[in-house]
Amino acid sequence: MLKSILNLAWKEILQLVRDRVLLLFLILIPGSLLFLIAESTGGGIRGIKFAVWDQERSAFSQELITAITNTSDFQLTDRAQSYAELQDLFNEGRVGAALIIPPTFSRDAFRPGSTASLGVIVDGSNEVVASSVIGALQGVVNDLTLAQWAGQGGARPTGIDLKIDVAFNPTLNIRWSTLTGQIAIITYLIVLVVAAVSFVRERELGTMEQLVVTPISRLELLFGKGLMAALIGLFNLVVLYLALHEIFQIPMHGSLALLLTLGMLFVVTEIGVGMLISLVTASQQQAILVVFLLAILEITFSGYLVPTENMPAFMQVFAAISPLQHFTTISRAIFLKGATFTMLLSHVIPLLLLATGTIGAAWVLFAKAAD
Amino acid sequence: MSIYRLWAILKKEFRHIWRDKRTLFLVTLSPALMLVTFSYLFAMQVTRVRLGVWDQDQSALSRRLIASLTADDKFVVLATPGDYDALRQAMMRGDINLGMVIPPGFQAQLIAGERAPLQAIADGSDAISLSRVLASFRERIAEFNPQVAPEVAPLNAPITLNIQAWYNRDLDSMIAMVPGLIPVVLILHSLAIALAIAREKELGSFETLVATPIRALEYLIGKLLPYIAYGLLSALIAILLALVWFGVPLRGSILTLIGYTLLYLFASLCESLFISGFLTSQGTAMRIILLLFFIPSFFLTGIILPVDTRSFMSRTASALLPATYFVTVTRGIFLKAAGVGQLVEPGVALFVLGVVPFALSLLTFRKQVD
Repeated sequence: MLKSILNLAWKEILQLVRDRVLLLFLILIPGSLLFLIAESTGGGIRGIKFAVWDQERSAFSQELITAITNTSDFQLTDRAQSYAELQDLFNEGRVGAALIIPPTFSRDAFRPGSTASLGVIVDGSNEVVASSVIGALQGVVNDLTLAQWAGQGGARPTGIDLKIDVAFNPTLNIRWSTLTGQIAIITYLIVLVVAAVSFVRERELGTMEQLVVTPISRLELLFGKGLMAALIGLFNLVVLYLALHEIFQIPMHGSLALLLTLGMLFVVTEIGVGMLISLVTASQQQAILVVFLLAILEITFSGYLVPTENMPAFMQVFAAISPLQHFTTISRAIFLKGATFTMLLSHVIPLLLLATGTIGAAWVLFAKAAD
Repeated sequence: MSIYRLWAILKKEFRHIWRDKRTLFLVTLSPALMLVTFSYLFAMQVTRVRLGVWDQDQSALSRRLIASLTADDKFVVLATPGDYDALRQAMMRGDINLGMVIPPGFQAQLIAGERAPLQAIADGSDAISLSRVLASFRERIAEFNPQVAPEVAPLNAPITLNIQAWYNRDLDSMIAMVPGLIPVVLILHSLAIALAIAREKELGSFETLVATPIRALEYLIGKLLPYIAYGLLSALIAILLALVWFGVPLRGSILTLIGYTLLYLFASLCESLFISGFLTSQGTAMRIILLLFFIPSFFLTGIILPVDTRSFMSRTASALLPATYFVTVTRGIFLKAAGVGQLVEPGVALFVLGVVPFALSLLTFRKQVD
């Protein structure tokens, strides 16, 4: 039995290696996508272009501008002299933020009891950037205020001194979050596509009937095809792990064995899903269309870009039954937080249930279809 | 080039799309459906910050701080750890994404008119949404500062920020996101045209076409025009949805928007047309379009985060994606009332990105026929 399963898996691998376009898809595109996304999100929200309309031109206003450009969050690109000039800069999208320093700025800031007001304009057409610009500016102004207090002596600062530590990702590198989620998405796409075309392809080519008349049992056929997809999944996980850890220097705080074990549980679940798709569709083209639609849905619900906790209740139901969501969370937690098996139980148990459910359903459907 | 033969091809293409209900759905209604789904997903404001509070002070002021943070549903206290280890564990399990530690003496220091330290620990594993979480947390703490209590020394704030958000006064993420997503959902037409060409090759009807007196130019234009027409139709549905359903203001001219939409469809369909020349099966066509256009359009066009311009690779890839320019255009026309004068650069880029692959497909098409 084992021998025929291995034979079948070998046939599948040979077939895959011969299909050059599919092979290219499996190796080249995920790799380049990983690099591209890593490259493009490496910067995070940094180097926001900003303009200054300095109506005072004093030492203190210059100090403020220097303090802002020193943060690497901002990059001074233009100096404006009027409101209209600022308007043009924003309309053409050449700056994302602007600072208006009023003519009485330093006088108001230093006179006890008075408050200097600093005009800030942000481009609201990208709300994510705008909010982080506001946060960063507030930080700079707070620091400057404190420094000014210290310089004056006498007057003591009051109020709450907020200090924020970022755990698990101290430099707030966005790449760490995207890539540890990306490992799940790439594995997902590859395994699902391979499994989804498995049976439907044989049926389309008419080779299914040939397979059925050979002495290979149905169980062996199912396992043989599954084994090939599982091997591809494992290969993928290992390669992606190496790329993340060695090339992109993402720290691995948890156990690699745990990541691979749970990764394989995820792969098995996706093989089940893929085989189900393969059994209910009539052609490869249909199978891939189903994969496409499912992938779009699952990727959006995976928590990869938007935390699932923020979704409305009915969307959370979908997230709860999405294997991709569970493994995305698991991957991030193991990589960045060093989570252990018991901490991840709330994701492992649903994955186990989904794996048994999909493989079981595929088996029942396959037995029926073959009769 | 004969108008008669072009007309024949056009008629055939329109009929193909019309008859195949799946393709018809793909090129008319599905962009609108996707726009609704994505808008709700990506435009989610930080609705809930899951807070863990370790209150070492246990004073009236510390309790007032917690109460003012959780006054609405935005911040919810889900754990009250008694030490750093418990806080870390709760964060590892994902129960909380922000921990707040109020040190002993918090109230006493505030009343004495000193700086009272307050520590916050944030979960950096989700760095994308964290910037918003932290921004709204800072804002709340700053708001709490002056109104603390009568017994607290008045806060001396020498500099205040007077913030205005242009184009989107309330920083409503829906208003920023919906115009940016319109280019993404129109990528479905690139998929549809690639599938149609691959199907012709699979079924062998491509060879039949080659045997007819149809010329390459007529074939390509005849292929392109119906998809541009359906693209415009679905773009209009999406724009209508943005205006009526999501309440996004259209501050620029609708005619400019339509003009640029046609240009964008031209560019993205031509790129897809060119790539399709190398593909032989529908399966491959779908994978390539999904991976080459769809996924990168979220990262490389700047709809969510600005593209890292320091990296040559991402700069090049983002420059080659028509969606990059069209995002600037839709956000510009919808929100900034931009006219053609401000949108020359994206217009030229879209034109080039359309003409070059079109010319290339014309050349490669000749080769295929020979």
